[in-house]
Amino acid sequence: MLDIFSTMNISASGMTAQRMRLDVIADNIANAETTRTDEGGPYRRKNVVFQEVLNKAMGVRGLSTNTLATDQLGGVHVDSIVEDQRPFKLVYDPAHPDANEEGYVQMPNVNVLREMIDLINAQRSYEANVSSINATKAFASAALGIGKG
Amino acid sequence: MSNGIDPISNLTSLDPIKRLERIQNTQVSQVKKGEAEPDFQKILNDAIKGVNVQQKDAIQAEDDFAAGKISNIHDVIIRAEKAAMSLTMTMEVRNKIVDAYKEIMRMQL
Amino acid sequence: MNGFFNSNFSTLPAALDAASTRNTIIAQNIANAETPGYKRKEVDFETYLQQAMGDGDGLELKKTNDKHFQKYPSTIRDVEARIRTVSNTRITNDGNNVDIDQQEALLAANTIRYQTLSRLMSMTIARYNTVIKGVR
Repeated sequence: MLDIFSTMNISASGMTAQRMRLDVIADNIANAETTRTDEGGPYRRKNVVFQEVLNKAMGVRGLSTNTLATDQLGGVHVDSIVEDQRPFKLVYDPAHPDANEEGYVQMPNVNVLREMIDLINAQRSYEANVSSINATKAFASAALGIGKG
Repeated sequence: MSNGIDPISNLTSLDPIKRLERIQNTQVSQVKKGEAEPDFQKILNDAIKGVNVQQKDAIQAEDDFAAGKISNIHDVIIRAEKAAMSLTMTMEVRNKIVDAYKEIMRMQL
Repeated sequence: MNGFFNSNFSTLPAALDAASTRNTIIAQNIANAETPGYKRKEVDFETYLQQAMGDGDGLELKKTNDKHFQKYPSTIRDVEARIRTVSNTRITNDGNNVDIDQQEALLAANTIRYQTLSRLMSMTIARYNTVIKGVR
């Protein structure tokens, strides 16, 4: 039974996924005012898409009637990074170099407050995965102590 | 052969057989009196019954905890430790009795 | 000696298995706490064991039909853990129903449970060793 190590992998995948999410949030915040990107136009908010990872079990005894076994659980991964398709913000600022004829500038569709909340949530989730790894370590420790003394 | 009804003549007799009979009959009468005398068999049986109760209680505590019926961890641990202690003590008592028995057997030879 | 430390010997090995499985399930739930559409999983064991022991709030499993329950435990030593997906609870907009705080609380409680069970397992083994090693 590889329970200990594969369980730790599940938590590690969670940490990796949250880390990528944090990177994307940092990117969004850093570019909240960027009106000129390489592709032209303002910065578009980016978002991560998480997906559950299920490995194909190789003839493992199912622990339930749904034939779901712990060996099949692989945690999570970032399936893709997508761009938020919601419209850009229109801000009235005629002095801005990128203002249009009516004096409006297209600003990135980033809401910094929302990004900060996302950041806190990502942090929270990251730490929860750390708790999970620590719990698994405690399991290994307890199992190793059986029969001693 | 004399059946020991006349202890006084046996006491003073130099006949070894009669002396043995005296000892034997003394023991029999002591056992018949019974209650005041230590009975190792009974002590051992009681100790074994006691330890069995402890073992069963420890196993019941384990089962109850495994089934989520007990939330007091200290309750389960204490019951398990009691069982361990009484088992160890019973083993020691048993071993000492066996040792004593072996020594007595050696003496008689 | 093979049958000595399996479930026929005690309920502890099955309970240890169940807690271990539950730990893995919680890890999966936490890793997927923000995965759209993910439904949390749970492990059932303690209630099954209670029912097998015969006092599950009077709602004892009645086997009216042999086909109703696969692997219906005939003795408490046959009870096994089962994984279940929870789909009928409140969800967020993206269809995810994991409450990360609840999962963390469960994580802590389950870890303590496993630690206690393994200590009890050690003590059970020690009782046997006392008899095996102590006999002269």
